[in-house]
Amino acid sequence: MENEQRRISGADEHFNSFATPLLRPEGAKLIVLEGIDLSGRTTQVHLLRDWLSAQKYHVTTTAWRTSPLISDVLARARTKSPLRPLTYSLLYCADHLDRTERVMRPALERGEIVLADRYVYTAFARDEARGLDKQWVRNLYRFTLEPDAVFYLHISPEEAVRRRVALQPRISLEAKPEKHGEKKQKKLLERAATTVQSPALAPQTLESFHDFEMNMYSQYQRMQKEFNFTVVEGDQSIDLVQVTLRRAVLRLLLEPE
Amino acid sequence: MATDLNKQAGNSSFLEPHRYPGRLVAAEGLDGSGKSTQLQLLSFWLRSEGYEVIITEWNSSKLIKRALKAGRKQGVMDTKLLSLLHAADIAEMHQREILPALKRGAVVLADRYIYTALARDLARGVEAEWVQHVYQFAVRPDLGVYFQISAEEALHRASGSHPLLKYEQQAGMDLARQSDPVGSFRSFQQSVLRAYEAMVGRFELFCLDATQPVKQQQRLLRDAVQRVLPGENE
Repeated sequence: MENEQRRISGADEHFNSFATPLLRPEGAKLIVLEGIDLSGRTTQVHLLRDWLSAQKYHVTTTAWRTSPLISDVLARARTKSPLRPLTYSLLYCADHLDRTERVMRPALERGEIVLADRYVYTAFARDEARGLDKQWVRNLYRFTLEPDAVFYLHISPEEAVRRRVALQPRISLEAKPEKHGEKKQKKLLERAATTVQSPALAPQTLESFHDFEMNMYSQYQRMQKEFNFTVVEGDQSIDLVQVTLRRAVLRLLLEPE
Repeated sequence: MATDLNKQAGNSSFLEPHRYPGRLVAAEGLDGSGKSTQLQLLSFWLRSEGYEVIITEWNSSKLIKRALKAGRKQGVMDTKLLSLLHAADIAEMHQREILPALKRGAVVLADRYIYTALARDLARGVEAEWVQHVYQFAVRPDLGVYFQISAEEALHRASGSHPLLKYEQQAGMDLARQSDPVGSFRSFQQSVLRAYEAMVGRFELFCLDATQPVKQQQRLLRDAVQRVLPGENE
């Protein structure tokens, strides 16, 4: 509790408005992984989940943009006519609220560990990168729960582009990935599908990918101090990143409340 | 683009006058208060005066209906969630129809705008400060008209001969109690009404007695609109 207090007052004075911390049972933790596209977030969340489950912890995972409420709307927007930027920002907020009330809060009340693949910081980075007013965006998310830890998987935008290019041949060879059951490939494709809608990768696409990631990157860099991110270097092997994360999570779980 | 959005969210809000060449007239009030008829008449007049006029209507678009349906499948919906979905809906209309028209210099007649959304949210118990903040992206109307009728009168006009059939399509039915749909709809309407009344002073809405004859209302409306038309104040 004291810890919570400290973190709140240490945060940016403009944003001390996380929802009142609920009384969580011992062991309930909200752990967030953030990072730009292709930083390895999702892979690391899954590995953490498997490891924690094997240690007999109860774990719930949740990922950005997965509320059934908006998935249909977003899917239609993708295929039919795209929505305006502000509309997306309100829909993403609805997604976050829905998952907060239906997934995260109940799991924490049951005393579980919640692993969030992206959190409000993604919205802050995205919306602010698009020129929306910072205060407006942050106030929108005032209902949200304050995480116990935020791990920021740091990779450079250039590294993201390298990874994106490396994914490319495998994607373009297979227009319909699901027919080819190779597990690893499917995983890669899934990862790619969450970041870019079209597998076609024209030079200008790559350029706008880079610009977007660059933009997100500088937003994350700016938020690091403000929200007390724990930075984990993402430009190393999956195993090494995972080891670092496990060590930090363990410390969090064992620290006296 | 960035500056536009910046303006939409936070910097200039529905609390401050906009700087577009067009004009925005918003009509708010309970269902059945006669807004749509009056806006139609206004549009005839304005067009004959040489203005480009567009009428926008807000009442849960396809976009949001899909989300609401998915939400209902999950059970009772969080009121803030409902509020965000409606806001997304209005934001889309705002960016797609209203802003471009205002930039072109057109007169936009909005059949329901943010005040109706706000009134419904407040009636559902959403925290006022938060929801007013959400709607900061919206341009402040040059004229906001509140069509004032009593809840009883609105109910009477809206319900016709098959009240229950009609109620089911009304806003606020998400709060209805199974045992007493008419009663709970009525109390929702009452809360919406109170929210509207509170907004009249706060947001300087033009209060129109919507029980008057159609012609009389139209005359009052034209006078009010006239005062905000381009060229009148400059």
